[in-house]
Amino acid sequence: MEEKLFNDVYRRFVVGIFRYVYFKVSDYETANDLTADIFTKFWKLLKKETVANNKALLYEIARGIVIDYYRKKKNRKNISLEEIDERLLGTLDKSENNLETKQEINRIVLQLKKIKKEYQEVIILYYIEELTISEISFIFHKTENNTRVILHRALKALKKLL
Amino acid sequence: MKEKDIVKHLQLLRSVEPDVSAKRALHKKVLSRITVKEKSFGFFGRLFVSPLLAIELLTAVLIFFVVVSGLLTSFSERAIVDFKIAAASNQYEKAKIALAYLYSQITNTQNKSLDNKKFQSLSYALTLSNTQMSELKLVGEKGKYTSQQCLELYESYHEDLQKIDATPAQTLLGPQVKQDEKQSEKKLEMYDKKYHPVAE
Repeated sequence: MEEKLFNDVYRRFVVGIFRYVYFKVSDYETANDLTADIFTKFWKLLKKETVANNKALLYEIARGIVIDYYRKKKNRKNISLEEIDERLLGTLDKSENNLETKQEINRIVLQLKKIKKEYQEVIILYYIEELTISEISFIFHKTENNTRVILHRALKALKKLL
Repeated sequence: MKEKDIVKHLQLLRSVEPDVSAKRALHKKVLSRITVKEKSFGFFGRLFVSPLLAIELLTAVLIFFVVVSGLLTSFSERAIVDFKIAAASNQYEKAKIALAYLYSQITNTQNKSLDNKKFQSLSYALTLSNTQMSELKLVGEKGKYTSQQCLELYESYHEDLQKIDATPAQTLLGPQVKQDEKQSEKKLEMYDKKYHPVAE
């Protein structure tokens, strides 16, 4: 039973979780390791209790694991994201249109990295990973109204840079 | 840039995803971690995680039950025959029951290949028949059975013994069957002397 659910959740969210972690840590190998940690932790939780919202729980775990990762490596220098790793753009072929898309993606990510971390997160979760306001407020441990305000401010901050 | 355009641009980031080989490697990594964790779940926990282990265990249990029930069947069969013999009213009835059991065991051996279980049952039926037949009084018992009934039973017994010669059990039970055959032939000769004194 749990196995089927886990496989289903894994298939649906592995790409999103990987992407979310990659945007946070800016390193392909680290994102790979942390994604494996996230799903391992999710499996352990699934065995213990019934989960009401798998997606929200998965991103909450992901957020916690990324925070832990930064806590552990606080003495090390953060890796800045200059350009998206080519391995993550495999879905786009080498046509001219896609070359432009790749450049555009890199430009947006660079600007996104410049705004407050909380703003980055709420934008990634809402506009890229398509979580609902209710799911984001669960992950952030905030009210839905508060989350809406943060999202509005985040978009405004990004608008200034683009 | 309008908010609507920003959202459109942000949605471009959805095309950022690991390639197939990376996805496969990640899947392997997650599976290996989960499997290692399962070791601490204990025996029954693993049964639910690994269907193959559950199937293997179920097969082993089924084989065990088939073997045990097979043994129990032959034991219970013997117990029923023993009980019937003990409950029979006279020696003729007892011998008849033993012969019926011997006949069923011979048929069983003829129809299917001989295994250890069938061999044990046939050997037991042979010993039982010999014991019950040798306790028959050839002249009969007044009010219970006649001499003629005894003769018929001995003829049937002799036929059964000859049938065993045609079964695969003959190689293993040969000496015992030969000995029993000799005994029954002696008894039949005695009947011959009694009923056909002229021929002698």
